[in-house]
This record gives sequence, C-alpha cells and structure tokens, in this order.
Amino acid sequence: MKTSRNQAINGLTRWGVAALGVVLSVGTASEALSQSTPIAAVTPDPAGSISAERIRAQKLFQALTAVRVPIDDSRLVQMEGLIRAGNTRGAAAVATRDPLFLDVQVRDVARRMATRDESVRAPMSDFVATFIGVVRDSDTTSAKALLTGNFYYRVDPAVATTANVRQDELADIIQSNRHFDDITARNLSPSAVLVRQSPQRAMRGGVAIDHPDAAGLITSRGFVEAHAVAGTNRRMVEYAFKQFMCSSMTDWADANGSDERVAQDVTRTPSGSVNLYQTTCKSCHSGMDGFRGAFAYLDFNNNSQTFTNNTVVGKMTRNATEYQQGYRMTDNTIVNYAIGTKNADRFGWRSSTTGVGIADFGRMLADSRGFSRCMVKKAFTSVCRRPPLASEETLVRSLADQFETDGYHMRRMFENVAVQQQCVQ
Amino acid sequence: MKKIMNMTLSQKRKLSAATMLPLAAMILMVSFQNCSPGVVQSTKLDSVSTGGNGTLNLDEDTKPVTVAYSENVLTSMQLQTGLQTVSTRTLNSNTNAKAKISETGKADTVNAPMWISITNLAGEVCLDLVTEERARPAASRRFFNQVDFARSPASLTSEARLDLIRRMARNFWGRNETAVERTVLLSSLSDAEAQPRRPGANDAAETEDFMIYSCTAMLSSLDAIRF
Repeated sequence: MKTSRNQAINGLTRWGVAALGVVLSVGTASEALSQSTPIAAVTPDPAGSISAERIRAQKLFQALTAVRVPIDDSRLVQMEGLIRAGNTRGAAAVATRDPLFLDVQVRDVARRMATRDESVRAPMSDFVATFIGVVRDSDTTSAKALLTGNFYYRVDPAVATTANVRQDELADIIQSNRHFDDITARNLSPSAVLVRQSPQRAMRGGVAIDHPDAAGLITSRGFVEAHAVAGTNRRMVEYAFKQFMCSSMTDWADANGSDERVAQDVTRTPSGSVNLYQTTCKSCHSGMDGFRGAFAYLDFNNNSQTFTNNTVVGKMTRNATEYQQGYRMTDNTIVNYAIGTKNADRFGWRSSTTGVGIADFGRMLADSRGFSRCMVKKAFTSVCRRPPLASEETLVRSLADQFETDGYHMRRMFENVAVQQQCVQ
Repeated sequence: MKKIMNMTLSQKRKLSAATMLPLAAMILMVSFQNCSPGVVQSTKLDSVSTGGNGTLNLDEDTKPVTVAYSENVLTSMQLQTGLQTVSTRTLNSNTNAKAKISETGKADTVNAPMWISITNLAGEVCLDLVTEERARPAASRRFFNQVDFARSPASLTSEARLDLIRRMARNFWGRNETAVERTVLLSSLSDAEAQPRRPGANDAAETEDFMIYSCTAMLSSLDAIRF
C-alpha cells in the first residue's frame, strides 16, 4: 500500500489528484482490514521449480499455522533458504512469527481446552484470548503464567472503539462474553488486537472487584463458566487436570489415596457395598476432593464468577447427610493426594503438597513436570495432527525438558515440536 | 419452472452451481485418487520390499493424513486463492457449512455431507475469485491472465487452459499437476464446454461459469484440503 501511495504521489498530475483520492480511500479501507488476519495474494509462478526444501517448508508452515498456503508464497521461499542453510528451527520460527500461527493454530488449541465439550467450535473467550496472548508474548511471559497470572487479554480499547467492539467492563467482560464474541463478529485478528489487562476481575456481593484469588486461565471467566456452573466445583479440578496436565480423571484415579478429604455428599456404601467405594469411588474422590477446597469461595452466578466473603459456598457442603462422618469443608485449603506411586511420575510434583486457594492450586500445577509435558503434548497433537504415541514418551519428556530450559517459551516449544522427525516429515 | 425463468442471472448461477458443481467435483475427486497417497500414508513404504516381506506396523510406520476442519477451511481457501476479503454470501455459506465439516479433520470424520459442503463453499470462493479477477487488467490477474471474459470458453487456447491448470495446481494443491491429472482436467473441461449453454447465458456468463467450474473442481479436491 505504501508503494502504491508513493507511486501515486510521485505521479501527481491533474489526473493523479483523482487517482490519489482513490488510492487514499483504498488505504483507509486497508487500515481497517489490517486488524484482520492478513491474507497474502500469491501469484503462482507456472514455470517455477519446486525443491525438496520448499516442500519441507510448506509442510512446516502448514503444520504450524494449520492452514494451506500456495507453494510460491514468499514465506515459504524464505523458509526454503533457511532449511537449505541447515537452519530448520529458523524456518519454523518464520511460521510461528506469522499471524496465522496465533490466529488459527493457537486459537484452535485454546478453543479445544476452553469448554466442557472440548470443541474447536467453542467461542472466542477470555480463556482463548489469554492463551493466544501468552503464546504471542512468549519472549516476556512464561507459560507458567497461564496458571499463575493475574491478568487476561482483551481487545485494545482504542481498537475496540474504532472496530465497534463492545467493551463495557461489567456488562461485556465480567458478566458476559460479548466483548470476545465481537472479535469473531468483527473478523479481528487476535494476534493484532489483544492487549494484556491486569488484574483479573470478578464479582462479590453484586459489585465488581479485583480478583481475590487469580490463577491465570483457571480463573478466566470462560473456564469458570464452563466448569463451575452448578455442580460441586469438582469439575474445576477435573478439567484443570484434563487440560493442563493432560490427565483425565480415570488416568489419575488412585484407590490407594487418602480419603481424609472425601466430602459428606459421597456415599461410602454405593449399592450397599463398602468395597465398591474403596475400589472405585474413592479412587477419584481422593485426589479430586483434596484439591476441591481451592474453589471453596467460588461460584458462577448471574453470568459471572462470584466470590463470597471467605465463607464456603453452599454447593460445597450440600447433601451432607449422605455420610455425615465425611469431610466438611470449612475453608479453602487444599491437600495434594495425587502423590502416590501411580501418580508420582505422571505429575512430577515439585512444590508443596498443601496450599490455600486457587492461586496455590494453579502454582502447584504450573510447577509440576506434568504441566510442561502436557503443553508439549498439546502442541504435538495440533502440529503433528496426532497425539504422541506411547513409544514417543521419551521424546515428549525431552521436549518438555527443553521447554523448561527455554523458560517455558511457548512459541519456541511449538517450533521444537514441529521440526522433529516424528512430526513433520 | 416459471420460478426458474423468473430468476435473476445471479440466482440461476447459484442454482446451477449448487446442483452441478458438487456432482462434477465429486466425480473429479473420485477420479483424482492418484492425487493423494490416501487417508493413511506409510512413511516406510519406500523401504518395504516389493515382495511384501516387510512388516508394516500401523502405529509406528504410518502417519495420519488429515484434512482441513470447520474452522480453518475458509481461511485456507482464501490463502490459496489470495482473496483478502470474501463476499457476505461466502461467509454465510461458510457458516452453514461449519456444522457439516469435521471438527478435527481426521480421516474417519470425513463423510459425504462434508464433501458437498466443501464443494459448495469452494464454489462460492471461486465465484468471488472470478469476480475479483475479471475486474482486473489481464496482466495483473493471478489465475485468469490468459482468459478473455468477454468471449466464449471456446476461445481459450490449449496453452491458456494448461496455464490455468498449472496456476491453480500450484496455489491450491501446493505442487504442479501430474500428467495424468492434466489429462483428466483437460478432458473434464472439454466435457463441461460441450454441455448445452445455460438458457440466456451469453459468452461472458458462459466463460465465467467455465472458470468457476474449473476452479471449484480443483479447490474442493482432496489435495487442496489435506495436510
């Protein structure tokens, strides 16, 4: 566009004035479009040769961005040169620096983590926006902040104004998803328009407050809406483990765990069988109820996450008559019972096995080896288009180690995954 | 019948595209199975002896071939065609198609409604592409630089047809077309050309339809959406 403007200005004549007007009006439209994901108009070169390095570049780019691109795309030409020079990682970095990486690939990884359905059709939300933002800002933000940060990402207020994105904090962000819905509706490029906003916000007594117990994505409105509606907040634990430790409840259920914290609403004699409780029910409730205290003061009411004034919400102690000798929650302390033989290696805990509140819960997960391995698995599954095989566990662990050595740099981790022989061939 | 007669040219084109293009594209896709290694591509086939003595471990020796999914198919088509913006009609078509297109792109989620939806969407994208390119001077077009939109498709030389196929193959399939594909495509274009002209269509409309047809056939084929 700049070139066109310069050409128009240089050729300014009687007719050129009119031409300039046209060019400038196109320029204005382009500026509005510049907030959308850029689409390169590639002119094919019918006689151009296609080298093996170009094909590798194309596969790498498509794997990392999750979209198809023409073989004559200038980015592939650049990557081809880097691959030929032996710098495949550098070539992968060309792809991860591209807005398509964030606007399609990373967006869809986050969408699959955001809701109970784990569907790529989940709407844009503060969860998805924050995930994209942290990956974009990998140079300055550790991925651990995904579970420990007291911030979220939203549309730059100035852009929101010009792009007609609803941005009233209470009505459009805290009490609804409208602000984020508009990112999709206005066809905005998340990688271009998102800015970090701190602190997170929630409701208490009908008033918006700074979040009292922030834990990154776990306390995003999207995640709380998906998992803290009704129920007993056990789903918050279940899905935190599913999405950030890549372990479903059945994976980490452990019948040898303590049932000291299994709540009163869990019968100890299902179908009249104590044995069934000991071998089945307790397996899940041991770990889940140990962590559940983190969410003692949290609920999702009136379309927003709400906190009590340090009193345990009613749903945490309901059905108390089911087994009155069971654990009755009185505060938001947590105990990690997923430390037995079965889970010790799976999670690789590194921090205290006790804590207080959601922030400690998030930190416990973020500090574990399980978290870094899980992020590698998420990247591997999306980039390589298949989950890692059981026989590739060594590779996953090695990539996770590198991820940690790199300071939990998400973008670099995606690159490292993509260049593996087992991934893009 | 009267309703069809009363339709505008645009409505007739849409009707024609909705009925003919999916059928034609399905035939082309089936014909072009050689375009793709199939839904599961062995990474070890080259090293397996032709005598069949090599042991193929499906888990270890193959990698899944996936296709575009509901959320990235339109962006991919935009990138392949170079369309920075698409029409509202195309956006609506994409919205309608989403529910029918796989969420994961995994081979076992591909089905007939998905293919038809992708073909319909490709038809809309191709209409946008033809509309955009027709408005440009021939020299600045990406695909149809040798096409005279004022004349009938018969005026398109063999060289121009080959150039068109090559350009679309490079952008849509990410490679040059093979000799077999070239033959099939040329034959298909000839067949389409031999069909009776749509009632009321002039040379320009006929050429436009012809370009939409060729573009849709290639943009909705397996190699245009597989990863």
